[in-house]
Amino acid sequence: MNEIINVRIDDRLIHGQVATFWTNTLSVNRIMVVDDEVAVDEVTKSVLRMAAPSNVNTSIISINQAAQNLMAGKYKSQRLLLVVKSPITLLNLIKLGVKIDQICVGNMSKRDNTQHIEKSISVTEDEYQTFKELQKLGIEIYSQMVPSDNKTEFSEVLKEYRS
Amino acid sequence: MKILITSHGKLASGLLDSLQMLMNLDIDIDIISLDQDGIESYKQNVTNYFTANDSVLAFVDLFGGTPFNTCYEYKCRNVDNDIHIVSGVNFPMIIQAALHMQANTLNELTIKEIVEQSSEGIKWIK
Repeated sequence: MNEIINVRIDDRLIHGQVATFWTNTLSVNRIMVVDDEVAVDEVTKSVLRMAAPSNVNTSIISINQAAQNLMAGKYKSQRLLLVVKSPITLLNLIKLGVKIDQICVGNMSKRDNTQHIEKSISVTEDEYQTFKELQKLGIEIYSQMVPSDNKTEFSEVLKEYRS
Repeated sequence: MKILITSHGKLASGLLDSLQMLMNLDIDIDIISLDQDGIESYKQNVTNYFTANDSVLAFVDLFGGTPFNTCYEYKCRNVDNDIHIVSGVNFPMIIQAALHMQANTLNELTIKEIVEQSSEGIKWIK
């Protein structure tokens, strides 16, 4: 499943940083947004489709649908940027058999019950534990907002979290 | 119709500052900026603004960026409001829009003109 060029956690999904910088730098031709709530929200979907660059295809689908499509090789020979709001979505994809080697953490905004651990990254206890679990699976996780930023090893970022 | 300029960071307030240097403004042009880490409050400010103003010409900095997405989402969810969004804002556009607002001639037809004419000021001199 090497069609996934990059996996990004960004709760703004498709926006300036993703549409302008990442899509160009990674030369992707499809942005795949995986989120069970967004997949059934027609207004949000139309906003995201509008925000994507015109030369890039979009798939905005549920976790099950994404896993099914990826496992069936539906995007073979394409270059995919997979974008999700939360590490929990990624863990669910992995449990369904999707192979993920690396995760880039971009934006996770402040919400109820979150702790701020890095510029533009705040996590809940559940998200923190999920990151730990993903690390145990041997997945390389780093934070990087835009391509010109240096990658920060995410275990360093997670040390900021106070249980 | 009200004019809103909304951007990542200070571009919006910078455009207004430049406009005030060029002309004596007797109209209000409104500004909403997206600051670092302030997505939720930004979205709230935009929502409050559109709720308070039924008819708005919103200039945004970047097509597909968060200011654009936020305005566009509000427009999609409130189709009865008269919201026009113009992305890729530049100084000539703002000048034209301000002149039309002052002359009370800001409408769908003049917005079309503003957008069509906005690239005419972009020249490459080699």
